[in-house]
Amino acid sequence: MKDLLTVKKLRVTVADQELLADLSFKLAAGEIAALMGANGAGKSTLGRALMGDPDYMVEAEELSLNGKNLLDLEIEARAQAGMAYIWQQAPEIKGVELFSLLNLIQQLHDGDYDYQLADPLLFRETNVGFSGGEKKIAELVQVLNQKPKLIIIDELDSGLDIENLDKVLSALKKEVQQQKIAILLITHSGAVLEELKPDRIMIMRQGKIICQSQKIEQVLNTIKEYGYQKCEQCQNCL
Amino acid sequence: MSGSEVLPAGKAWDKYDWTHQYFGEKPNEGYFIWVKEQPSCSFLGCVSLDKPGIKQQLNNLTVIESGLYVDMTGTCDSATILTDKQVVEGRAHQAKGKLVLRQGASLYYQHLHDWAPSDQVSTNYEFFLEKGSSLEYTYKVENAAAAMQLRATMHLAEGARSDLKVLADCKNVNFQMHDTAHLKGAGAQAISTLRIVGRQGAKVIARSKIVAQAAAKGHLDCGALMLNPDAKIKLIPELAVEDQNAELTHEASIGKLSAEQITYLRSRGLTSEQAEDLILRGFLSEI
Repeated sequence: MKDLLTVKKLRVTVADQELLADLSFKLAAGEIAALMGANGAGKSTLGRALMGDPDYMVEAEELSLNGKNLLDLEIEARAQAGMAYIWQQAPEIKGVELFSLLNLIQQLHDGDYDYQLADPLLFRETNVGFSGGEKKIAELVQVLNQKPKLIIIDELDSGLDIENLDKVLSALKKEVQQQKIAILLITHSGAVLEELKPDRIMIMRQGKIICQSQKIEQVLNTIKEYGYQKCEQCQNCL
Repeated sequence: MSGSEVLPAGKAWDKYDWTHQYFGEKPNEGYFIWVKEQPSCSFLGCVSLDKPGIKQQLNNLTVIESGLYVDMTGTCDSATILTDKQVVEGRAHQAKGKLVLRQGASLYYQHLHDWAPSDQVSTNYEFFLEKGSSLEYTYKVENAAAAMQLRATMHLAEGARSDLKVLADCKNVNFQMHDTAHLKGAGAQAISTLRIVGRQGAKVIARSKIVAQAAAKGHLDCGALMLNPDAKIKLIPELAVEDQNAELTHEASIGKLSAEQITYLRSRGLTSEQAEDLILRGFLSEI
């Protein structure tokens, strides 16, 4: 498969503190990669840095999406280039109905994804008083209207009840398969992994990717039995 | 419009003695609107400043009879921008007005202000809400004059309700406002919501007050966004209770644009400017 995202020797700092170092991986078009690790391993930092969050200073030998150098692009230009991000804790935008925001996103990206999934939320202020599940539904409908090539998903299941999780996962799965969207899936959840069936799993620890494997079940069993620490010594999955 | 009477304020003074208690003195300028039967459409009024040197001094009276619902939009604006030479002559809009809502009447009133940067504006409105009447009043400043004073006073009888919203986008303006709701009857309810945006050269003092003289409820919600370090904003919420069964609350905040909100919207593909504009529009139209 053709490489979509290339990350080579990525270093991320905030206020001169190094959070990620020497981090490299690739993601192919349409590939789903799960990114796992203990709390504080740097998963969300990686997601935000890739998206172009201005709070993070990013250096890399290469950081590209579809051959386009992301290091030259601001966050909105990365969104225009096909990168989308589902926030773990989406902020409230008071006074702005979700419907208006979706219309704006559709115009900017020439998107055409149906709003129906978010129907009961459309005329409420964006994310104001939304439950965890409602926020994720709103996030999904927004990013699918960006016509993304890659979606970075930060903890899809946080705050989602089982019913809404099923709804979100099945909508996401359908679009991912039809549109060949790549996913970088930051998660702790077995249910999410089971449903989206990633092609690869990557384990992060202390700001580094210490394991990349296609043997998903084997890696998950190891983590379940020995914790993430074991991955540092394990060579079998590499 | 059938069932309603619209007159110059001076003629209303001459025709109806009962208006004297509201006008105070015979008005030279201004309008009189008396809604006696349910209107079939909205009222739309426009007051504009045109030539340099003009000083409008309006004295208005609106009376809505019992049980009627009225939808009203008033636009106050500058029809022209003065040249540097004309600015010396000055131009001012002064309006005072009384709005009387008889028992069970309802008024939805949007009052829009769009001024040239050199004008002087002063408005002083007083609302008399009789038993069971309701008022929804939005005072929106889209473009501020050089100096603006707004005073709005509500008198609420038993079971009356008022919902005041002041939405002001302030740039290079000395903006002073003072709204007061007097809850005089049991079961009266008042909400005052202020949303102020402070841009370059904005000097804002906003006082918002509720006085409960009966077992009534009230809430003040004052919020301001500072967009420029040069702006100065003072919000002064005040609650006064004279009946121990009254419930009054308030919240007030002054802050700057949230970096997180901007980043969130930029991650959707909006530029910084588009993101800021959307957040501000949301802030100034907050439900």
